[in-house]
Amino acid sequence: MGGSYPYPPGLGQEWLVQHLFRPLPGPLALLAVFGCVALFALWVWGMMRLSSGGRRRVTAICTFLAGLFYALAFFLPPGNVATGSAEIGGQRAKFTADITWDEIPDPNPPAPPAEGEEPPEEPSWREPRPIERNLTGRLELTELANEPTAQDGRDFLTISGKQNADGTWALESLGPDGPTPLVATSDGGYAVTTAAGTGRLQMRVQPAANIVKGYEAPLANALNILGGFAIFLGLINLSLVHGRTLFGAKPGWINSLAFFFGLLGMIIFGLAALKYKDLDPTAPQPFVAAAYAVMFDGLLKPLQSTTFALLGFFIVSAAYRAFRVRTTEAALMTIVAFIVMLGQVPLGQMLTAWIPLDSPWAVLRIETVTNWLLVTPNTAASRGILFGAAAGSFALSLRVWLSLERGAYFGKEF
Amino acid sequence: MMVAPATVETVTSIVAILATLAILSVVYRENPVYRLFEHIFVGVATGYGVVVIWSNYLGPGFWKPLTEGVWYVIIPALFSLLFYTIFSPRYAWLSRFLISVLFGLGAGQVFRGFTTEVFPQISGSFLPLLPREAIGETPAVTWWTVLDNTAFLVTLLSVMTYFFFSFRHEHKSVARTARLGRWLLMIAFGATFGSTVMARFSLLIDRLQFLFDGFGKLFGG
Amino acid sequence: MNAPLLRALSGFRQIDSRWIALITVVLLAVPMFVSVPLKMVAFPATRAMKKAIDDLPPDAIIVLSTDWDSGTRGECMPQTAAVIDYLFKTNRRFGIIGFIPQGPELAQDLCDELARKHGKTYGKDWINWGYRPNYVATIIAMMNDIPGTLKNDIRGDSLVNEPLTQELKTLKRAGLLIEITGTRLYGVFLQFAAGVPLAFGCTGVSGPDMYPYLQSGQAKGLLVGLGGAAQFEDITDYHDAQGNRGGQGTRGMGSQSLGHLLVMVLIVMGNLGVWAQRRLDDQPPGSLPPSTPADGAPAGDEEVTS
Repeated sequence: MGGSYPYPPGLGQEWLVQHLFRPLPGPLALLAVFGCVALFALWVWGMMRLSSGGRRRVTAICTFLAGLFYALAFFLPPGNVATGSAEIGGQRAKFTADITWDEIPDPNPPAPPAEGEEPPEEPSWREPRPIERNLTGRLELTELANEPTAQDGRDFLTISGKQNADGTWALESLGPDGPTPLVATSDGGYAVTTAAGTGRLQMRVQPAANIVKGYEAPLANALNILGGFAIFLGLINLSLVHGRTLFGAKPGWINSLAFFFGLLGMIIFGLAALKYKDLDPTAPQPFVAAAYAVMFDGLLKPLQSTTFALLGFFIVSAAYRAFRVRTTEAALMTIVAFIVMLGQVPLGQMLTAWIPLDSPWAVLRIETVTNWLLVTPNTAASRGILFGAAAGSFALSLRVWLSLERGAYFGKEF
Repeated sequence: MMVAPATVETVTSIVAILATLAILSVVYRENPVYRLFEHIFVGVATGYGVVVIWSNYLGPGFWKPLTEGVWYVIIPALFSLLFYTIFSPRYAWLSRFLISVLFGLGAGQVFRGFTTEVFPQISGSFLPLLPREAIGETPAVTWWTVLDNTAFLVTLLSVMTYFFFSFRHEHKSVARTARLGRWLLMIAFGATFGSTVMARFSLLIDRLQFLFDGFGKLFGG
Repeated sequence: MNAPLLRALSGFRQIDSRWIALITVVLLAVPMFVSVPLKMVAFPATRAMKKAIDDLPPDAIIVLSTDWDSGTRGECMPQTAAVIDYLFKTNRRFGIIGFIPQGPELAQDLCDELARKHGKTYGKDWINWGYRPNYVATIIAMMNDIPGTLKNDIRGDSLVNEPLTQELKTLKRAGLLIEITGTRLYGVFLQFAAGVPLAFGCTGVSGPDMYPYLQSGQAKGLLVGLGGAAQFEDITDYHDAQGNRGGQGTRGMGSQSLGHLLVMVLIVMGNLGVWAQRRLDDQPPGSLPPSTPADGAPAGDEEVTS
């Protein structure tokens, strides 16, 4: 099974993977880690020596470059399509193709584990295999055929191929008699033979200019590690607040104790229970797994869902105390709210269930009215709001990207 | 030490019922038991965050590769240290640097986001306003559809007029359109309110079902 | 209108909220013990969800993003259960991902249970990739490389040779991406997973905001709240492990009906109370018999006019 990457690797990515970003044996890896720490410390030291203006400039430049990455990934042509046409018997046939980068399969794949043998644990890193650029396309012959015969009512010819080292393409057509190579003609086209006769195929391949696309996955990995470590920020903050209350024996210290009970219990049992992966739910369980089940199913789940369920009481109370119909707008809103409330539940739907579904009056059935309210006026009004919000967020993002934003946060001294 | 599954289930049920009742007790009045369980909730939720981050990502995606010699996963981890500089006034600006760069990444994504989310919304608003018969695969447009589409476009345009703040709504036609837009917005808000009521009750129903099922299991055998 | 009636009506606006809470609990509880057969009509949005799954080629792999936690499990869990049950029933293979910490673990519990019911195996019929913190970057990268982006599944096992992931190398090739969300994460999928056929399950709160995407075709199907789950259970002929028709969504519809009725009655009562009080206040002083202290406006009766 070959790999499949629809986009080209990023600029220099193959070189980096081959020479720099690859696993090292134990002591060397440790050395590399220390090297990274030292470089990072040096970088921080350098950053700290910058003046206030310098810090601002560095931040603005890095912010811009960060945004540029995703902007380029989106705007540069990814080189994953080809289009063209063929002239066969004086008629034109449309050609479209997908282009992917595929790993060349391993000629000697590792043998699968024998029956009954434990499969070895998969390593988290695998040597990337060389890749090649492949094309799969179809030539639409519907316009040529008098009567559409093939599936979907369309007649087409499948064409596949791969790119040669010199940039040209070796194509072949997949007819009923097996693959037939297409002969390249002197004008850059290909001679193509179909049931309707012979002709010439001309195609244009989108340039694979997306030099950053291949870095999206490594960046996502890095950001997930970055985001993962950010969680300890909340942990430290909460622990500081509750630690002060608890150890200072301030009022409410028992609540802080409860906080630590929940926090430490969950972390200790949760992490300890990780090694029990495939537990049979009907067999006796190890203590840590049982304790984790009590913490997760007995505390976290009910506490969180009940906290949210309190909203049920609040909305009843709010509807009763605060929902006042005094203006035309409020009246309109109330009527629609009542219809929608009725239309979504069986009891409300029963009110108009006596109108037969096939009668012209079926449009007055409450679920039909509810659906119309949701699909027409609600959709249009929500879309109006959406347009405003989208334009606003687009403008704000541009300001952030170009470091033009001056808010409470961005205006702070660097 | 091994624990029988029935014991785990019983203990979990009792704890869960107590926790549910403790939180629900706030409906009667604010009380110490509610406060206690509220704090346990904050604790277990934070703890769970740590467990899930470690087990789903940092363990297999950071620690395991690191121990296998994939040294470069340390780079993002080092940069994540910058988050923690907010605790030191001298170094705090480095956390702002990191967050600013993350904002930059988000800003770069907005081009793709805006194009793919909003453009189909614009093209989806071009609706036929004249009836026509079916042509090939294009379905027929009936008078009902025309009426519906007109209502749709009037709503969309008047709501957009209402939200257009670039000039004052002085001209009568603009002011009236905006007023109509406000009324039509109320339909959307009414639908949202009705739908929100449904949402809030669902959460409560789930809890009550849980309580009754739990009581049934514990006492009904 | 006579004064005693007005005074009685004005009393409508001062019922203690604890009484209201008690009435709510009792009303919601009754249908849980007295089962009344209720018929439900599925909305076109719900039917579109089923059609989106039915129209897929048999070998298509579906991605299910479960972005909800215990806070919204009342709505999202029945939806997820109904969808997973239908996927198992129609022999669809799928991968689960989540961008809310509890989502994939809660979905795994549901899957374990439903897989036993339908005789499905982990790794062959479904895979759970687990939770990832950084959703935008992860989705963008998954679009062209799933194994390279996710690296491991929820159990921490490497995806290097995992068959389902190796078959679905890119999110772009997914037959359908169903996101069930208790938050507003759907926007991220609409923006960054565009090109993949999308379908959504969402809470009642965000339901009306989702309709524009259904109209534009960006969403192929939509389940809204517990009602959406009940409708989906109904059209897919859901049976629980004991063989009873209907799941948690259908079971909740009786209580849901009475709850909605209660809100409507309370809105009417609250407004009648205010109206009566105003009529009383408008009458010239002395024209009414002295009122009891209980008739005064209760504290905290803040009115919000929309």
